[in-house]
Amino acid sequence: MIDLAALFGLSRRQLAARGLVGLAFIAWLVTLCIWFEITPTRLGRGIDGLFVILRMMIPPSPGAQWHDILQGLAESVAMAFFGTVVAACIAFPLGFFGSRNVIVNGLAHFSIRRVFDGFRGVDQLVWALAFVRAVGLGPLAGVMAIIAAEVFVLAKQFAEAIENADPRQPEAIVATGGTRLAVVRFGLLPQVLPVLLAQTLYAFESSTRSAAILGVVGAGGIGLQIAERIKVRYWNEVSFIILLILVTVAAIDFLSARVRRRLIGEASPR
Amino acid sequence: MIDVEAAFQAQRRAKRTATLTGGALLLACMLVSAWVAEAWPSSLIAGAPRVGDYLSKLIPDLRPHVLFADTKTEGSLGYWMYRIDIWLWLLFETSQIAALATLLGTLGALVLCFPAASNLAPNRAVYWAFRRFLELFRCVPDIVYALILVWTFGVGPLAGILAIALHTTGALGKLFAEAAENADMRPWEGLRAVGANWPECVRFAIVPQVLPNILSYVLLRFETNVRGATVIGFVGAGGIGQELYSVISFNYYQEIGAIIVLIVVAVSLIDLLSERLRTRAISGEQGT
Amino acid sequence: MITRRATLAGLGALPLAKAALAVEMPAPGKRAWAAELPVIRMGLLGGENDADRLARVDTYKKLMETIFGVPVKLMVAADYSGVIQAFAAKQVDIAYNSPSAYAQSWIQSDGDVRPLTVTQEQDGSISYVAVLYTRSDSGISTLDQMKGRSLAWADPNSASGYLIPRSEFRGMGIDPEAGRYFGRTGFAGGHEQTVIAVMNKQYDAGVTWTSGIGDAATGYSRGMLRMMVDKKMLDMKDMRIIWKSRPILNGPLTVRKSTPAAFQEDMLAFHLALPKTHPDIYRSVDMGNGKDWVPVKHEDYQPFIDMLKQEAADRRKR
Repeated sequence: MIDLAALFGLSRRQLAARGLVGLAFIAWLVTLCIWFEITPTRLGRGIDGLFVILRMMIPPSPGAQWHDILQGLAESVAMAFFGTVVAACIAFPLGFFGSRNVIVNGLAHFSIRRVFDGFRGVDQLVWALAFVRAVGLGPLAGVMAIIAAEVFVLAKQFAEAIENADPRQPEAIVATGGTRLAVVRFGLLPQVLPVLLAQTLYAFESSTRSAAILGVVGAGGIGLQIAERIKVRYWNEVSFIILLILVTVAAIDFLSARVRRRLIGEASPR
Repeated sequence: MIDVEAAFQAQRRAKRTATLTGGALLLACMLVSAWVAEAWPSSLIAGAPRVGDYLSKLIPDLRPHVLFADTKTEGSLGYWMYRIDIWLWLLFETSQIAALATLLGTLGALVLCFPAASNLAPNRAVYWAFRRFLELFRCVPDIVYALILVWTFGVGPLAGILAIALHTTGALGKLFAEAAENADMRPWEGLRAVGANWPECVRFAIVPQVLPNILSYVLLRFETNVRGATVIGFVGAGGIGQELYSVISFNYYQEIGAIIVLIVVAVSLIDLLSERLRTRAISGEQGT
Repeated sequence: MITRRATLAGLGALPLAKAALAVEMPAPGKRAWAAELPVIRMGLLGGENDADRLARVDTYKKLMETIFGVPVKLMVAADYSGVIQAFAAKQVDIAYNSPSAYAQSWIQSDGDVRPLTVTQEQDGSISYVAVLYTRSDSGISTLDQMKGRSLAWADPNSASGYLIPRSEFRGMGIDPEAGRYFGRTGFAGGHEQTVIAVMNKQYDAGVTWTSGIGDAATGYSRGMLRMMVDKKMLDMKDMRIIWKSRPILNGPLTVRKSTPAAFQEDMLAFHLALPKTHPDIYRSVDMGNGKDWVPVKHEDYQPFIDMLKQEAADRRKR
C-alpha cells in the first residue's frame, strides 16, 4: 500500500481536505456540464462546424460593401475617442470626490465609491440599448453609451490614483499656507496628472475595442457590419473585418504607448 | 555662466508650446471625431431630455404605504420584482457561465502565456508568434465570438461560455506573460543548469513566483466576465442577458429597471468579494 | 383623387383590392415639406434578407432621392425593437414594419404612426400565415403531441413568430408560457435562426411566417421558408408543418404621423406607383414574389394592438 500522504508531503488530514476540495470541484464541473448541455457530441459537432467556418474565412476579403466597413471602423474609432475624452473630463472632478484625500468623511467616501461601483456594473451594451431607445439608431447613442460606462470606470481609477499620490507635496503646500484649492492644484495635480492621462489613453484603447460591438445593437460603428455579415454568413468578409480591427487596435496601442512615454517622460525630473 | 532665469523661462516656453500644440491637436481630433460620430453638442443636448425621459420610465412606481404588500398590489416592492425568483436564478446561471468561462480561459492562457514571455521564449520567432496569437484572441470582443459560435454550437450557454473563454485566454495571456517577464530569473537559470527541460523550468521556477499575481488577475477577470456574461445573452447565449434583451424588446420598462438594479447589485457584491479574495491572495503569499 | 384613395383604403382589407386605377409616380422636384424634413430617414431591417439587399435597396433609395430632391438616409436596425423606439423618439420617418411591430410602434409613440401600404400577393390576398413546424423525423405531427416539448419563438416583435401563435394558442386553451403546456420555450434570435435551431434539434418546434399559398415543397410562394429554400439552407422534406394560423395581415410600410401631411401623401403615391412604374426596383425591395403594394388603414391593425395589451396583462398572471 502506497502511503499517498507521504508521497505528496502532506499530513493525512491535509490530503483528505484537498481530496474533498478536488471532488467538490469535479462535481461542480459535472453539474455545470449537465445543466448547460455540454456533451461531447455537441462539442464535437460544434468544433467541426467551427473548422468549416474557419476554412471559409480564408482568404479575407472586403466584399462589395467595403466602404460601409471603412465607415463603420471610422465611426468606432471616433466614438471611442470622443467618448473617452468627454468621459475623462467628467470623471476628473468625480475622481477627486471619490478619493480619501479630498473627501475625508469616511461614510461619504464609502457611499460615493459604491455609487461608482454600482454604475460600473451596468455594461456598456446595456447603456447603448437604452440610448438607442432614447436618441435613435446611430453612433450618437454609442458615444453616449461609451461616456456613461467609461465615466465610472475612470472615476474609480482616478480616485485610486489620487489616493496613491505622495502626501508630502500636498503637505508642503499646506505648510506654506495654501488654500484647499491650492493644495489640489499644486500639490496633487502635478504628480497625478500624468497617471490620469495614461489611464485615459488606456481607456481609449479598450474603448476602441468595445466600440466595435456597440453596433450590434444599432449604436453605430463596425459592430453592425460584423453582425450583418455573420447573419448572412459571408465569413471571409467577417475575417477581413476582424483583421482590420486587429490592425487598428494595434496602431492605436502603438500610438498611445508613444504618447504615454512622452507624457510620463516629461513629468519626471530631468 | 548659465543664465538660470533665462533657461527656466525657455523651458517654460517650450513646455507651454508643447501643451498648446497638444491641446490644438486634441481639439482638432475631437472635432473630426464628433463629426464622424454625429456627436455634435446640439444633438447631445437635444438627446439628453429624451434619455432622461427613457431612464425615468425605468424607475419603478413605488408607493410607500403599500411597499411591503403582495405582488398583486401596484406600488409594492413585490409588484415591481414579481419575477425575482426567475431573475435570481438567471443571475446565478450567469455567474456560473462566467465562472466556467474564466476557468477555461485561465487554462488556455496558462498554456499560451509562457512562450509569449520574452525572457522565457525559446527564440524570437516563437515569442512573436505567441504574442500575436494572444493579441488576436484578445482583440475580438466576446460578443463577436458568441455571434459566430452560436452558428456552430447552437443557442444556449455553451456558445457564451466558449466565447468568453476565448476572449479571456487572450486578455489573461497577455497579463500572465507580462508577469512572467517580471519574474526573478535566477531559479530559472539554476534549474536550467541542472538540466531541467523547458516545461519543468516553467513549472518549478516561474509558476510559484507569479502565482499570486495570476490569482489576482483571474479574480479581476472573473468580475469583468460576469459583466460580459450578463450581456452575452443578447445574442442568444443564455443567462440574464437574454431575459433583459426580451424585456427591452417588449418595452416592459419596469422590468428593465428591476433587472438592471439586480445586475448592479449582483456585480457589486461579486466585485466586493473578489476584492477581498484578491487582497488575501497577495498578502497570503507574502505571509508564507 | 382623395376620394379615390379613401375608397381604396376602405377596400384595403378585401382580397380584391387591386389597384385598378392608374396611379402615377409623383412628378420629380423639391417639395415644400423639404423645409421641415431635409433628410428622409428610412428604417431598414438588416440581415433578415440577403446581404445583396443592401446593394439592391440602393436603386430604390436613389429613385426616391431623384424624385423628391432630398437625401434619403438608411438607418439599419438589428431588429424591429430599434425601429419601434426610433419611431417613438422621432428619429425615423418611414420604415417597413411587421404587424406586431407596427402595433408596438403605435403604443410606444402614443399613436404617432400611420400605415401606408402592404404587399399584395400574387393571388390578390394581403395576408400571410404563421406556421408551427418540426423536423419530419421528430415524431410530432399534431399540436397535441407538442405537450411538454420545447418551442422556439422567432422574435419578440414578430406577429407570426410570437404574438399570433400565442394568441391563438390561448384561444385553444393552451397556455403558451414556458412550463405550462410546452416544456422549454425561448428565443433563437430571429426567424432564420429559429429554423436552424429546430433543424439542429435544439428545440422540438418553432414558429415562423410564410404566405401559405403555393407549393409547400418549395417553401410556398413567399416567406421565411421560401427564402431559406432559395438560399439552400433548408430542404422542405426535412420539415413538417403541424399547424397554421388564421391569416395575418401583411405588415405595413409605416410613416410617422408627425411628419408633414404632404410628405405622407407623397410617400403613399410613390409607393403605390412603384410596382407598376419600376417593377425591377419593386421586386428587389419586396421580399419575394409579391405582386403589388396596396393601401391599408390603422383600424386593420387594431387587433394586434389589443393582442399586445393582452400579452402585457397576462404576463403578470403567474
